[in-house]
Amino acid sequence: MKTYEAMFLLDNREVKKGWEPLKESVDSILTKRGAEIVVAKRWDERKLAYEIKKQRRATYYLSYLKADPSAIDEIRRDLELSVPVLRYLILSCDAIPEDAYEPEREFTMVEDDAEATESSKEGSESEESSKGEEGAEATEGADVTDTIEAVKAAEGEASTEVAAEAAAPEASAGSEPAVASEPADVSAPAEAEKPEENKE
Amino acid sequence: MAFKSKKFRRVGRDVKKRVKPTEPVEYKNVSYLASMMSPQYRILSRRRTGFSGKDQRILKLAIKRARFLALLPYTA
Repeated sequence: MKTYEAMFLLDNREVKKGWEPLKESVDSILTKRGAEIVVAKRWDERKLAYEIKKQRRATYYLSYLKADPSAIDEIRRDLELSVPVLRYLILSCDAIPEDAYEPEREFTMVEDDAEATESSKEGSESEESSKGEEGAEATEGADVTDTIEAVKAAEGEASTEVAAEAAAPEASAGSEPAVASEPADVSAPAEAEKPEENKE
Repeated sequence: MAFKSKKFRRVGRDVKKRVKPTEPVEYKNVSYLASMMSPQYRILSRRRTGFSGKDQRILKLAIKRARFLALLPYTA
């Protein structure tokens, strides 16, 4: 017997018919093959990053189970044929994390899914706006790493900047080829270079 | 964003300290994984993350798993 972590993406249309029966039907796929479910709970209900089988939202169901490795193949086959399971991910795990034992939070189904299927235009608009927000988050994250890099590079940069300033009085164009010859792997710092030179 | 300060300049090969992940790197930690991606949801290079080869591999796998489960987009 090995310990596995399994995440299931469940169709919200099936979830609306009733959470408990659906939960049991998924669990039965596992137990039917001799797996022993240690803990299982609803992990989240969220908007998908992309549509799966025309669904914009889905419910995530996380379970930890003990099973024989040979049973996993059979479970996989059954899950492929299962209608409510849009997607699944079964990973072997060494230990079951503590927070897995926390009780399932209460939840109410968001009626957003119905809107998405009824009026696809509105759905796509809201999707775009939220995508923008997500993008903003990501850029914030990128900025953080940038600043970390910048702080670390600051000492090394100081000396090169002195050299650049020394070169500037001789010929302002002289410093530009040096910039161009750099490996342009990141566009943002290269862009930052230009306004600086104008100042000089 | 258009105007970046001088300290963002990068010249030649810069030797940086390795950074360890500050949060558990697994596919369920979506917000942290997203912070290790570009605005276009591309995985940041080791140069940008500052991770060791081992940590970067773990990150890569976690992001790919999160993408499979539609927690993160493949492209944006």
